Amino acid sequence: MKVISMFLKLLSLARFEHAREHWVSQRTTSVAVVLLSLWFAYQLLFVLPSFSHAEVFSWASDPLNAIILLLFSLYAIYHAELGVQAVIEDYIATEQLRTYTLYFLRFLRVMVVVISFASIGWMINSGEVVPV
Amino acid sequence: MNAKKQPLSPHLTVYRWQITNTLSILHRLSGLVLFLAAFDFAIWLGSIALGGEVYAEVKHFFSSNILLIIWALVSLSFFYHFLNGIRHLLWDIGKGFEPSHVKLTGLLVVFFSVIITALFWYCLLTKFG
Repeated sequence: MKVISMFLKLLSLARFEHAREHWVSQRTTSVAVVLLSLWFAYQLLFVLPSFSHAEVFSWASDPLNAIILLLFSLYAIYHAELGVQAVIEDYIATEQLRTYTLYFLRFLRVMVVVISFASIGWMINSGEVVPV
Repeated sequence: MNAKKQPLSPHLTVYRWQITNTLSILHRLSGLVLFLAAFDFAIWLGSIALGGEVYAEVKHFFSSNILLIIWALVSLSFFYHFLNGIRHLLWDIGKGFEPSHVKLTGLLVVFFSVIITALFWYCLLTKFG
């Protein structure tokens, strides 16, 4: 059950976290983001041969790279939402405005989650670009 | 949500500026910059999936001069937030609380975030020109 609830949180399918839960998630996601961002920096500096579409596409659609890219995006925006949530709760006094701002924040995060899933999912699945 | 009973945090202007609170505020500001950068990352992923033409347009936009200044800011924010985040994690396990250590690790974080950002761009520009 704990794994499922962690998974739902990562997919932004869980309620806003508070107090101890928020504190713990902020730290666990930070460790994930440290590892994933080091991987990304390493890829940029030492693996990715150029920024041409052909090279970037074959790099990003490699299943292992694709999964790590997706995890990086999901963990980064999860960690960011926890951080921005804390800023909003500190600096917006009006309860109603605070709630609306938090939902707007969640909306933005869901957009990132959907775009990341759709693009990575498409690339792994078809190995081709989306026909536009 | 227990929003009703929560007190409002004191605003930035009440603090005397010193290394501790300056770095704390910079941690939040750099975090906000990285929050915005996460959208660019998603847009970049999307453009890779959408094919060469869309990718070329996004790449052209992302490599304009004004955006390059923003990438410099994003990378500096990243390395600062990264190093200062590790400093926070060390505090969380109870290490480095003495005032002298707090000051020293703070200065080290600032120093190394600038150095690593410069090194990162040096490697990136040597590789991709």
